[in-house]
Amino acid sequence: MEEIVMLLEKYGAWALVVFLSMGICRLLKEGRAALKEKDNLIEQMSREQRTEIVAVVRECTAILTTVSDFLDRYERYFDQHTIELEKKQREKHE
Amino acid sequence: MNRTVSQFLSAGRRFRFHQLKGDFLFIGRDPELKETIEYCMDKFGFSLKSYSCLVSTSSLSFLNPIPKCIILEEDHEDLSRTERFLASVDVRIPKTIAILVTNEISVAKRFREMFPRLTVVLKGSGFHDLLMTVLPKKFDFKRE
Repeated sequence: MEEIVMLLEKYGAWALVVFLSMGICRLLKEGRAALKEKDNLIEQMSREQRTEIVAVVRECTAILTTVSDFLDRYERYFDQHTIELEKKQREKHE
Repeated sequence: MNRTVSQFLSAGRRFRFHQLKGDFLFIGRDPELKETIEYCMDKFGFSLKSYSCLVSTSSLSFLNPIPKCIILEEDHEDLSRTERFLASVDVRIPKTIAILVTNEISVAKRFREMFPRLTVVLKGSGFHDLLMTVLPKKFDFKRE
């Protein structure tokens, strides 16, 4: 502290300017680091959200494909069943 | 991962498991793992096909029906091959359930983050339990 007072007495306003500039520089540096950290965090979060959205869309596609397969199977079974029924009815009439 | 998303994904996986027709596919070289899987499949009456190396997903999509579930052992020599295969399964045949078996926690974590729909199992810890919970309860009677 005494050294600072001595410097201020010796160099006056210039010393004050130097101290203030150093303080401002330090604040700027800290601010930039905080901003970078925030940007990284936002980027990471958006990347994770993007992965989640893609996963959900793919899961929806998978579910819809599974349902479509099931309907196809059911339709084939239904057609087969109808043909067999018609055959039986025809045989009955004959 | 978001809890709701995670719940949705596991519900979707359960739904696919119950609705899909098709065989189980094991891709890996570990004989013990293969034996465990064969034992479990036999217990629950599912059919299993085994390959000792990775196959192309386009060839899998020609199978009729497409495999219901792929159990993949981590490729120790080249992880990027495993990654490419899983990405391809995710894109080309999304309805197939993919399970990755590894013995490294870091690999398990990495793949889980990369593919949220993937089920990752650590070798030797709970694989048998997982199969027991994944396999539908209606097949329980075959155990006796």
